[in-house]
Amino acid sequence: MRNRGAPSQKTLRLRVTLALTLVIAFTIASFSTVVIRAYDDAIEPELRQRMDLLGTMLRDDLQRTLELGIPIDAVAGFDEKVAETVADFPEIRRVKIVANNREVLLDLENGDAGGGLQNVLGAQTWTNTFSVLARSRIVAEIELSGDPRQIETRLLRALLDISVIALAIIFLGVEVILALAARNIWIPRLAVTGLLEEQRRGCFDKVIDVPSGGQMRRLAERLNDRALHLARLNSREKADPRRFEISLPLSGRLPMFLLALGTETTASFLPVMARNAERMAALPGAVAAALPLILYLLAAAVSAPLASRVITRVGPQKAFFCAVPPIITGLVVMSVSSELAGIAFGRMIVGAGYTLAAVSCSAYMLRAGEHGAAAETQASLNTALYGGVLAGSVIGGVIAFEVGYSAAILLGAATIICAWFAARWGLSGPAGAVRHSNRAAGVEKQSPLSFFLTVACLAVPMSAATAIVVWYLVPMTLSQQGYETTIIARIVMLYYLSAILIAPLAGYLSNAIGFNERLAAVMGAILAAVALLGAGFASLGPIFVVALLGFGHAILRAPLYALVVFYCGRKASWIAGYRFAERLGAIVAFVAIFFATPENSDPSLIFASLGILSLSGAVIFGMISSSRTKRRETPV
Amino acid sequence: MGPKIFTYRELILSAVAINVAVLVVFVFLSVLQFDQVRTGLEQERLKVIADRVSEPLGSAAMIGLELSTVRNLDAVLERARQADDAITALHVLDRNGAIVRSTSGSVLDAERAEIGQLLAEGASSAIYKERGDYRYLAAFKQSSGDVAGALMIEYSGATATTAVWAMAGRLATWALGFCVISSVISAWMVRSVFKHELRFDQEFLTADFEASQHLWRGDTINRKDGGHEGIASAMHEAELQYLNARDGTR
Repeated sequence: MRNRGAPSQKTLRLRVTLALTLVIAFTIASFSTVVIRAYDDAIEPELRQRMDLLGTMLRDDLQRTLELGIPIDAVAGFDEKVAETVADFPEIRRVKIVANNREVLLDLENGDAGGGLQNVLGAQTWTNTFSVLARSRIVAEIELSGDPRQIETRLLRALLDISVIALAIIFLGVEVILALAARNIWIPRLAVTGLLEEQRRGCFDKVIDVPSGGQMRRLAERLNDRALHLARLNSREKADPRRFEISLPLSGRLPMFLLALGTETTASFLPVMARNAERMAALPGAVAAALPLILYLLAAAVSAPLASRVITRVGPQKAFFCAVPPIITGLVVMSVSSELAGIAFGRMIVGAGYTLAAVSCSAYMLRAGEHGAAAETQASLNTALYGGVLAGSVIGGVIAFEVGYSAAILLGAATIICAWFAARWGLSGPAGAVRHSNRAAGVEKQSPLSFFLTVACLAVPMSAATAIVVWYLVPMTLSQQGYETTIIARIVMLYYLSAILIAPLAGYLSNAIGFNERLAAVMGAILAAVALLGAGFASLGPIFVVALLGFGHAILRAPLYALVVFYCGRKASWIAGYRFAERLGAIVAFVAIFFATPENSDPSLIFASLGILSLSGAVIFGMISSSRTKRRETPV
Repeated sequence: MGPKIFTYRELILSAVAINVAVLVVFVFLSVLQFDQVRTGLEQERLKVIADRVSEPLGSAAMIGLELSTVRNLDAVLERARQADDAITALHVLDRNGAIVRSTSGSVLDAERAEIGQLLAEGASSAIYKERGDYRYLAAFKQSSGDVAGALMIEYSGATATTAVWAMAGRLATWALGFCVISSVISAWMVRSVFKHELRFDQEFLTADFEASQHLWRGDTINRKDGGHEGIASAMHEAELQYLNARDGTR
C-alpha cells in the first residue's frame, strides 16, 4: 500500500493558506469600512468643537481690530496671522472671510490641497460660518470648511498594523491547521495503514492510538482489539502489545514555528533596547547595541556541534524539552533587567537554547521523513521557521510599541511554553526517541575543498549580511531616524516574507529552467550583493534593501544547503561544523566591520563593505567551482 | 456506510478561532488608536486655549510683573473656562506651584508637590492624568529664563472615557456580527479544502465494508494494490490471519 498522506500535504498547505488568507482578507476589508465609519462619527463632535474654537478665535481677533476703528477692508497682514492660527488645525481645509458687500477679503487654503489621500469613503466635509460684529453691525462673515481626511490618515496606521498582525496570525493559523490535520487525519490514517500491513503479515503484537473522532475510529478500535484479544489468549508467554507509533515530518513544524516566534519577538528592537540599557560608561553605544547579537551568535555557534551530540544521546524530543527552560530563563532575564549585561546574557542563553531546540526539530523532521528528500524536508522546516520569525517580529513590534519591551519579551516566553506543549505532541513517535541502530548508510564521498569554498564564499557572507543588516543595522538606523518599533518591525518582516514567498517559487523555477544548484546559489548571492551595494553607493531605501536582500537569500538558501549536504557526503558532524563556521564567520565579519569603521560613521560604508564581501564571495565561488567541474568533466 | 458527516470538527473550530483572534486584535488596536487620535485632538485644542490665555500673562511675566497684579485676570480665566465644556477649572500658579488665582469648579487638589517640581525643572508644558482627569500645565518665563509662574488647566476625562467605551462597544457589536459571518465562511472553506481528505477516509470505510462482505460470503479474493480494493484485500488477509492466530491458540 502506498503512503497516502504525504503527497497531498504540500498542495494542501497551499490551499489552506489561500483559503485562510481569503477569509481573513475579506473580514479585514469589510470590517475596516465599518471602523472608518465609526471613527468618522465618533470624532465629529471633537472636530466640530475644534472648528468652533478656531472660529471664535478668528472672530475675536478681527473684532478687536475693528473696535479700534480700523475698517475691515484695511486690515493688512491679517492673512498671515490667520494662517499661523489655522496651522494648528490640520483638518480645516479652507478659511474664507467675506465682507458685507460680498467682497472676499481673505481666502486661505490650509494644508496640501491637491495631494494627500483621496477621501474615498465619503466622509463629509462640512462648513460653519461666524459673523463678525462691529458696533452692533455685521460687517463680515468667516467661513470655515473642514475635512476629516487628515484624521483618517492617522487611522490608516492602525489598519496597516492590523493587516500585518493578521498576516502573522494567518501564518500561525496555517501551522495550527496543518498540525491538527496531521493529528486528526494523516497520523491516524498512516497508523491504521501501517498496523493493517503488520496484521496482514500475521503480526498481532502492536496497538495504535485510537483517534477521538473521525471515521477511522471504529477501524482503529477493531484492529487494536485483535491484538488485545490475541495477547489475552497468549497471556502465558507474551506481554501486552506494544504501541505502534507514527512520526510525520509535518508535525515538527508547529514546535519550530512557535519556537521561532517566541525567541524573535525582539527582532525589531533588540539593538535599540541594548543601546538604551544601563552600561559601563566606557562602552560605546554601537558596541552595546551589537553585544547581544554577537553573544547570541557565539552561543549559537558553540552549541551547534553540542546539540547534535545531545540529540544522539537523548533523542530530539527530550533535547527540545531540555532547551525550553534555558530559553525561558533567558527571556525572563532579558525582560526584567535594565542593564546591558543582563540583556546580553539573557540573549546568549536564548541563543544556546534556541539552537538546541531548532536542531532537534530539524533532526526530528529529517528522521521522520526518511524516505523523502532531505532538501524538501529542510525547505518545509525553513518555511515554518521564517514564518515564526516573521510572526514574532511583527507581533513583538506592535506589543513593544503599545505596551513595552518587556511585555513583548514575556509574550515570547509564553509562546515558548506553548512550543513545549506542541513538542510534546509534535516530536513524539519513533523519530523523537533515541535511535539505537547505528546507521552507517548514507555517508558518501566528501569533497573538503568544495565544502570549505561553499561555506567561506557563500554561507559566511550570507549569515554576516543577515546578522549585520537585518538584525542590527536596519533597526538601529531606522530608530535613529525616529521610526517607531511597529514600522521597523514591518520593514524587518519583509526579509522573512520574501524568504517565505520566494523560496518555493525559486526552487520550482530553477528546477523548471534546469539551473544547477551552483548557478542558482551564485545568482542569489549576486542579488544579495546588489541589494547591499545599492544601499552602500546608491542610498537605496531600507525597504528595498531588506526586501531585495531577502529575495537574494531566499534564492541562495536552498541550493546552498543542498550543496553543503552534497559536499560533506551527508556526514552529520560536518553539517554541525557548517553551522558553527557560518555563525563564527558572521561574528568575525561583525567584529571586523566594527573595528574597521569609526564609530557613528555612515552605515553606507558597512553596507558597501558587506556588498563587496558577498559579491567577491559569489565571484570566487563561481570561478573556482566552474573550473573544478570542467577539470572533473574533461577526462570523462 | 453512513451518511457523509463531516467529522473534522477541530479543524473548523481552529479556523473559527483564527478569525476571532483577528477580529479581537482588530477591535483592540482600533480602540487604542481611536483613543490616541481623540486624546491628541483634544490636547491640541486645549493647547490652543492655553496659549490664548497665557498670552497676556506671559507678556506680564516677561517684563517682571507679579502674575497676581495682572488686571482683570479673573475675567480672562473665566472666559477661557467657558470657551470649552471639557475644562473644569483654570489656575494661575506662582513659581513655587502655589495657587495665585483660580476659577471655581476645581475637582482636583490643585496644590501638589509634583507641580512645584515640574516648574523647578523648567518644563515649559506638561500633561498628566490624575484620577481619570487631566491637567495641562503651561509655564511662563521671565526674560532671564527663570520660571515666573504657570497656567494650569484642569479638564475632565469623562468625555474621553465615554467616547472610547462607546467606540469599543460599537466595534465589538459589529465584530460579533462579522464573527458569525466569517465563521460560516471559514467552516465552508475548511470543508472544501479537506473534502479530498475526507474521500480518502471514506475509501477505508468502503474497503472495510467490502472486506467484511467477502468474509461473510466466503469469497477468496486476489491480492490487489492501490485504491479501496487494495485496502479491502489487506483487510481481508489481516482478518484471515487473525482468525488463524485465534484458532491456533485455542
